[in-house]
Amino acid sequence: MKSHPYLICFGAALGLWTASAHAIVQAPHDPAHGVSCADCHVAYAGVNDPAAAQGVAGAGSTSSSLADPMQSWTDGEWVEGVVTIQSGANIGQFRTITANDAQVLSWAQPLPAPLAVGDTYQIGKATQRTIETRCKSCHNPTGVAAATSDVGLHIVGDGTIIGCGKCHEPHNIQPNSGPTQALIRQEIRWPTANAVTAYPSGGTNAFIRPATHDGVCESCHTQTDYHRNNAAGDHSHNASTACTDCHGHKSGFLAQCTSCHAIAQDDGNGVPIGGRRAMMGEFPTTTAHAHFGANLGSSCTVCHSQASHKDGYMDLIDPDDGSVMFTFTKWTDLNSDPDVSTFCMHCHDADGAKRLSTPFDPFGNGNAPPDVASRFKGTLQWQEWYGDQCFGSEGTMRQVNSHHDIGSGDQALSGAKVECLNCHGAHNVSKEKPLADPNATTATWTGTTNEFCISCHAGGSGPVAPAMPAGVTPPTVPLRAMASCGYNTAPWWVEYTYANTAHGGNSKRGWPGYSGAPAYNMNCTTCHDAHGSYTPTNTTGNPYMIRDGVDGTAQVDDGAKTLGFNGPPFTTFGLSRPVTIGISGLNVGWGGGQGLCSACHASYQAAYDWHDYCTACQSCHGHGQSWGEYDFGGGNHSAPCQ
Amino acid sequence: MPALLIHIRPLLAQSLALCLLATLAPCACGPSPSRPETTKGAPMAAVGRFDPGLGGAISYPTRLTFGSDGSVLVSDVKAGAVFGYHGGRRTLQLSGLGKPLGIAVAGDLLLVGSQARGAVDAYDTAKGKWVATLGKFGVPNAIAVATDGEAAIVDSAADTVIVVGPAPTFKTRLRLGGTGSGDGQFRFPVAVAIDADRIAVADQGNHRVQVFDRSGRWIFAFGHAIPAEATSRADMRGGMTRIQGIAFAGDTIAVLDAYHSHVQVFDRQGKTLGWLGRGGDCETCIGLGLDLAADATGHLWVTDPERGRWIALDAQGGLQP
Repeated sequence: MKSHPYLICFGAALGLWTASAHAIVQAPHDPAHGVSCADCHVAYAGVNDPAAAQGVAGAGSTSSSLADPMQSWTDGEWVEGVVTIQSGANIGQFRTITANDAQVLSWAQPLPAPLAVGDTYQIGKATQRTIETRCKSCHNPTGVAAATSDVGLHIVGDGTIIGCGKCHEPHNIQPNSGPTQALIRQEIRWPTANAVTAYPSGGTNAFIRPATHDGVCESCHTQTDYHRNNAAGDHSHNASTACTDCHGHKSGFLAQCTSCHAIAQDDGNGVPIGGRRAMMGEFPTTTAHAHFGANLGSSCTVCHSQASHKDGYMDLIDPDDGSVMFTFTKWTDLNSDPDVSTFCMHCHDADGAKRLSTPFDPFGNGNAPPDVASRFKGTLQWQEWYGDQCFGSEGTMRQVNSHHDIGSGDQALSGAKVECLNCHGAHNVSKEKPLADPNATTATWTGTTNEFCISCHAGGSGPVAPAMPAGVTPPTVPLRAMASCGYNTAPWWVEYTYANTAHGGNSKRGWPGYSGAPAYNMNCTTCHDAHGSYTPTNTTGNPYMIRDGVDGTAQVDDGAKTLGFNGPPFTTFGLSRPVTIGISGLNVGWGGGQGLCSACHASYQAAYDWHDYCTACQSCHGHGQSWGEYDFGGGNHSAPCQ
Repeated sequence: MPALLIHIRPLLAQSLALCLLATLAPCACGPSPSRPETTKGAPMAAVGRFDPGLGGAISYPTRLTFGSDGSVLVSDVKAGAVFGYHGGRRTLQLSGLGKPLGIAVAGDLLLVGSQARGAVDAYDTAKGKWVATLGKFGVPNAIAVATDGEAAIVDSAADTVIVVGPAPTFKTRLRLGGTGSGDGQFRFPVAVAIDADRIAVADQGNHRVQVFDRSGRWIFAFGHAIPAEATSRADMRGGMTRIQGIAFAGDTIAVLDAYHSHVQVFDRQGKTLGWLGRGGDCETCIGLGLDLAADATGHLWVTDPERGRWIALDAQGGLQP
C-alpha cells in the first residue's frame, strides 16, 4: 500500500515519543487515509482528566517551573504529563512537562505570569488504558477503523493494561511489520518503561510468527511456562504455531477455549492425552442453539473451569455454585460416569444456573434451560412382566422405574443406566434439534423421533440382549423375546418397522383396498414423556412414562370400526385430556374411560364385542402392534391369545 | 413494554424470519439499567452494568436509546442483538441482527441499523415481527427519530445522512451531506440528533457538528480540532477530537468525545457551556464512550462497551465550566 509521506510534529499526547521530533509517516495513519496529526496528537489530553497528582506551588516557582517542597517525585516520572494550574493568575493554563526531579516540574512555554506560592495545580498523565481508549476511539465497531477493531486489551496478571504502542508503531516509520502485519514494532517496548526495548539481543525480528525466543510475545514474557524471552523454559509448546493462534488479540491475548479447540490437535507430545478435540464444530451456528449465542466466548465457562486444564484435565462445574463436579481427561470418560446427569440437573431445574446473574439465561442468548429435573422425581418402581400372562407368569420380570434410569437409586433398582448425555449432546443440542446421535453423541440426531427411541428400544431376539449404544446399560434381566401367544415381539420393544405398525405413518390399514382408515405417523412422545411421568399432581409417576395428559387431536380414531371410517374429524375425543394409568398388583390399567388408549379410541367397545369384557388393551394389542397383529385382524398372527 | 424475547434469523433481506422463543415471560436478570440515583455533589454520575458477570447477555453495549415508556434499549454489535430494559429487568431481546449499530424508537417500532445486513429495518417489538426495511446503507451507524416520526439515518460509509418520513412508508425525504469539508459535507459522520426544527450531525472527520433545519438547509457548524499550540482551557472550548455521540438535551447540545472520554455541552448557538465526565480508571470514569443519549430526566447516558456498562451523567449538576 503506497502512502503519501508527510511531516508530522510529535506531540506528547500519546505518551509514546519525546517532543519536537520530525519524521516521515507512512500508511495507514496518513493523510491519504484521512488521518491528520490532530486526529491523534492533541495538546492536552482532556479538560476533565483525573489528576494523577496534585498540590500547591511553593517558593522558587517561576513561569516555567513549579516547586513543591511537599513532593518526592521520581526523576522524570512526569515527563510528557500535563500540569494544569487551578488557581491564581494562571488558572486554566496547562503545559506539557518536559522534566522533573524530586520536587520541581518544568516546561518549555512560559506561563503568562510567574506562579505564586499557594497556587494549586494538578498533574495528568496518560495511562496505558487511556492510550488504549484513544486508539479505540477509531478502532471500534462504529469507528472509521472498524475493520481492525475486534481486539482486546492486553491485560497481565495483576490487571495492568499494556498499551497498544508497546507492540505497535502507528507511524510505520521504523522498520516494522507493515500495515498488513498490524504495524508490529521491530523493537518491542517494556510495559513499564517508555521507549526501552524489550527485544532480546540477537533476535531476528520475526515479528509475529517466531522461531525460538525471538518473537513478539517472547520479548516481554519472562515468567511464562513456555517460550520465555531467553533459552530457559519450555520452547517446544506448540512450537509450530504462533502464540496468537491460541492466545488471540481478540481475547486480550488470553487463551480462549475456542482458540485451541477450533481444530483437532495432537502434536504428538501426549499433552493433553489424546490431543485436543475440535469441539467448535459441534456447535450449530445456524440455529438458536440452547448453548450457543452469537458469541461463544465465555459461554464455555458456564459449565467448565480451567482449574486443572494445564494438567491435562477438564472440569465440569456445578452451574449453581461453581464447584467442580467432574474431572475427566477425555470426554468419552463421561460415558462411564454414573452420575453425570446430576451435573445437567443442577442447571435444568427450577432455579437454573443460580450462581450466574442471569440464571435462566446462562448463555446470554435468551434460551432458558428447561426444567426437566422435576420430571425425574417419580417414585414408582414396580416389577414389570413382559408379554401376556394368559397362561401364567411366562414372561420375564424386571424392575422398572417411572422414568429413565439416570439416578443412582434408579440404576441400583433396575440395573439399567442411561445418562442425559446419552440422548443429548452437551454441545450440539439446540432448541430445534435437542437430540444427539446415541451412537455418536457429538453429532446431532438427524432421524425422526421414533427412530431415535428405537435406537435403544430395538429389542432383540431370543436370549441375546438387545444391543445398546455405548454408555447405555440395559436392565440386568435380559430382555427376551417370548414365543407364547404369538408374541414374537414383546411389548417393550419393536423389531419390525415401526412405520408399518398401526401407529405408524405407513400403516397398511391406510393402504388402498384395506380398511380405508387413516394412517398417522404417531410419535412415541405423544404418549410417553422420556423425562418421566412425574407431575406435581402425580408424584409417583406412571408406568412406562405415560404422559398424564394425552392430546389425541391428530391421531383420533374413535374405534367404532364396525360403523365404518368417515375420516377426520372424528366425533369423539381429540382434545387434551387427562390419562389415568394405574397398577393393580401386576396389572397395568390401560383401558377404561380414563385410560390411555381410550383417549383416542373412545368407541373401542363398539369395535369388537369382546371389548365389553376387557379394559386391558395391551393384553391383546401389543405396543405399536403390527397392522396384522390384532389391529383389525386377518393378519398372519391374528389368533387372539385366549 | 411487555417482556419479550425474540430471536431473529436474518435470511435473505426479503425473507427475514422471526422465531418467537419465549413471549411475555420476564427473564430473571442481574442488575440492569434503571433510573440513576444521583445526588448533587460528587460524584455527578451513576454507573450501571448490562447483565454483568458470567454468561451475561450483553457483550458490547454499543448504541443506546430510550423507549417512550422510559425503557432503555441497547444495541450490541458483537452479540448481534438489541436488548431492552425497563424497571431494572430485561424486557426485550432481538437477536440474529448481524452487526446492529444505530437504533431508535419510532412509535411502536424499533429501527435497527445492521451493518451486516447493510440496511435499516423496522421491527414491531410488541408482536415480534419484522415490519419493513427502510433502505440499504453501508454503515448505518446512528439513527434518531423526531417526535413527528421522521427518522434521520447516518450512513458513515457514504458520508451522508438520510431523512425518511414516518411509518409505514418511511419514504426518503432528504439526503444530506456528501464527502468533503465544506458546509454541509461530512467526513465519517457517526451520530445524529433531531428535534422539532433541527438536525445536528456529528461530523467526526471534520471535528465539528453541523446543524441543519428540518428542510435540510445548512444553518451553521461549530467545533474544531484542538490546536497543537493549546495551552489553556479556553483553547479547549469547542475542541473535538473524536466526536462520537450527540444529543439534544433541553436547550443544549451535548457532544460525546470518545478520544477524551468526556461530554462537552453547548448552547443552541454552539458556545461551550462546560464539560461532563472524564476518562481514567475511576468508578464513574468513562472508558471508551460509544454513544450518548439524553433521557427525560436530564441525564446523559454514555455506553462504555469495553467495560460492559453505562454511565449516566447529571447534565444539570455536574457541568464543569
